[in-house]
Amino acid sequence: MKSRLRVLRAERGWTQEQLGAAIGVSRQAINALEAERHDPSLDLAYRIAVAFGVSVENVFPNPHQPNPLQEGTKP
Amino acid sequence: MDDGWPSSRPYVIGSTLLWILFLLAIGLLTWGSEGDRLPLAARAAIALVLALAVAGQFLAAYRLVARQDEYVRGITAKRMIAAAGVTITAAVLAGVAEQFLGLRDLPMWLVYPFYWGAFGMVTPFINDTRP
Repeated sequence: MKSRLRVLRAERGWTQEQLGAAIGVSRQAINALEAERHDPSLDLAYRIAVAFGVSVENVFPNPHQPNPLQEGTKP
Repeated sequence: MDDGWPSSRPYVIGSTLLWILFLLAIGLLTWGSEGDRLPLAARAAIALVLALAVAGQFLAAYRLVARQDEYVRGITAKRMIAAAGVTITAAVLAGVAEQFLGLRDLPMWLVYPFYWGAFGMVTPFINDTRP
């Protein structure tokens, strides 16, 4: 899953260890998230978003776009 | 949460002691079986200790992994499944070869060190939790 994790972390000058310690995961987990080798659980995604003070979608853009066909059938 | 994975000190010490116990038991059983140096009851007791050392090692590994974060749990589960697959495949092949191809009998306890060897071999290749 694509994310802005590396950018957000770099903006704040945090190391992977520091971010991992702040949200209760290992440095390996942060590295895997940044390298797109791990898709976070909803709980972890929320914890990361809270650490940066942004919404989840600001860290992990939603890859699922609304289906225009379904949009057209809504009342 | 993070107690030093993958080299948690209590885990490394516990694992080392269990491996020493396992190898000691194998050595004692090998020695004691030759010419019935040890009575059957003693050998049975040593065999039970050996089996408990194996169970203890897996329990320690399970407890260690259960304390890790979701990424480490995910990759470890994948690695253990891959190692189990390699080990069971090799064990089945060896069993069939023994029964039908005349391969000499291999001690079944070799499955245990083989499994951890397989775990070590697959580990560098599995670092992604995604399908």
